[in-house]
Amino acid sequence: MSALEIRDLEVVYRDRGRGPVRAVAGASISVERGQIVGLVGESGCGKSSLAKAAVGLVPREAGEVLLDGRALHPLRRKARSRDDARIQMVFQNPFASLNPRRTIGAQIADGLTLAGAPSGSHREQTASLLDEVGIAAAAVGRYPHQFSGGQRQRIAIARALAADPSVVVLDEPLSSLDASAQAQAANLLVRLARDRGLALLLISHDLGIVNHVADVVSVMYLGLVVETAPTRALWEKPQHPYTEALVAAIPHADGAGFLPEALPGEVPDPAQPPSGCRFHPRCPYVFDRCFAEVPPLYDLGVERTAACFLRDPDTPPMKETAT
Amino acid sequence: MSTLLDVQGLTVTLPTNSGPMTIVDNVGYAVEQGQVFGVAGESGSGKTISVLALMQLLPAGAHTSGTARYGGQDLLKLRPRALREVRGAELAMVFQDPLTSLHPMLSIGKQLTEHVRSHEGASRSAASKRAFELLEEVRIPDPERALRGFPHQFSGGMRQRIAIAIALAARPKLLIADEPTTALDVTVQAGILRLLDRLRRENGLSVILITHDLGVMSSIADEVAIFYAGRIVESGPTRDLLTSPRHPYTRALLDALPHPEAAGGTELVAIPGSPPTPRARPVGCAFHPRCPYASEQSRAEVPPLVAVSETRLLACHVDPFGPK
Repeated sequence: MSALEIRDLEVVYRDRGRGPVRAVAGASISVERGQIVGLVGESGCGKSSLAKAAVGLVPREAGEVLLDGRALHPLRRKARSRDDARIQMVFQNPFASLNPRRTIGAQIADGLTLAGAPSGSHREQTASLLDEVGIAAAAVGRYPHQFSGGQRQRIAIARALAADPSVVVLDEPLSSLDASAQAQAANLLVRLARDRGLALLLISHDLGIVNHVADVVSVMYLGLVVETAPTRALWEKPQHPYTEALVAAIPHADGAGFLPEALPGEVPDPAQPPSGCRFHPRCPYVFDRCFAEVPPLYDLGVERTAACFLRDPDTPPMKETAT
Repeated sequence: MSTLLDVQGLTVTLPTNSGPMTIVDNVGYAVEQGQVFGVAGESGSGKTISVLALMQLLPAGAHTSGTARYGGQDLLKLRPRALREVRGAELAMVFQDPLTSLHPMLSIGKQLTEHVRSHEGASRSAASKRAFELLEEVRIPDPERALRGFPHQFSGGMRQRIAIAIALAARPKLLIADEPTTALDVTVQAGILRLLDRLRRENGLSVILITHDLGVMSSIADEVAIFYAGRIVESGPTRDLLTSPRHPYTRALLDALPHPEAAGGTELVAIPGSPPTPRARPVGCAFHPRCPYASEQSRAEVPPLVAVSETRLLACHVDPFGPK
């Protein structure tokens, strides 16, 4: 049983004066205990919508979210049940997600209350949570503005941990941080998965950092997961042309003067997705079938799937790809 | 190659409630014709302030000393009239977020032609023609239509291309780009980097590229200066600097980056502590509290930036990675 299982999730936004936008068009992802699953893709691919729908912050149009094997109830006005609160979220901007007018200790204690910890134990538990994320326990009475961006993000993580979650969904937790602060936060995530057995769904546009910390990576394009693979395999031998383009676009800080490859065109409007394979207008390997049919996720073995006709075992494509 | 811009002893202090605070401390570098000069460092290291000073765009009350020689004049001492002629026409700037630097209520065509006309005194039709050419230059598809569009109708990458087109309108010799790709996806970032690279090669444009991303630096910068707490700690040709960093800070920055070879659950090497604020800059070498190699001298004296080879400068008393 996976700690988090998202099945055929769809998220649709409806605005007056505009057609419905299917931001997530049927995506499945599962995260095991102690595992970090990275979800990558360009802005507008639906990864944040998927994250929000996973925790219940936006309603799902279709599909299921299972937390420890149980269906997660949608978020309502009433507080969540203890079981449903075992999924927690960390947001991109810790300047906005922490309350500037309350001490960090008080904010972490909110999570403890949620988890039903007796208030007599709050002081001790808050100190131990701060220690776990690498903040001096003596700082418990300070306010968010007294910390750097990296420290604030680790405080936000401590607050999520206070609710004793089994799953934490992190939406771009590292992207507003400098390299060193990013490294500290990334290391913390790895430790949380290993030591606490937490299941982490890490959403990021930065394939480089995801590559470092995630065990498995899913790549999203225009509302669909187009490839999932163990991290190393994905990086070394991408099986979807979009993944290949993402990898080629990453600059290398090795001084070799490698000029990254740009992916032509832009992510199309999700309100009017292209026919057939949604990536076909930008794909260098496009052929006739891609215009008409939607490629299914082909099972490529060793925990790999890719939604590309080039990977169809029955009808090999006319020309071989570079991969 | 000839030197286009020569900055020496640049120091900037900003007023605060508790008195003046030194943000940029005795910074010097030279930018050659047709070169991409990289300025790297973490947020708060003074990268942006040091270039805003060149354009005299600092907030009121800021105090600047030092010199910035450009074509026989000192940019830091230009009077308003002379400054107007230099800004835009000689030096132009693009910022991280094109949505805030572009005017939301004016069409792209209006913003482009306004710039062309004010600097070149061109007629309306000549300015329109030039605006069209500029959009072609930065590879905006369907320039005719784009000229009638407004900023919100374009994607982040296209907006940054438009901002670059506007910056190029008066044919500047030096473009200052402050984190121009930070807000963009990598796929789009690659396009902007290729554009800057082409402008440098084909038009001989010089670029000061400010970024915290050493990967971006490695892609197109010829020379790099590493900033820490308002000072340059190391500079030199990009390849040398990234393959054999001499300053412990440069080395630590590189070690903190994710490596393509490592995959899945590997820890990164973080630098202990946080960068200092200008208010609490440590005495001596500002990096010493975070540096495993710091000596007595590092804790007491600011290390001067001195030549350690024909092309490289280093500010470190210990130089633990120098030739033995």
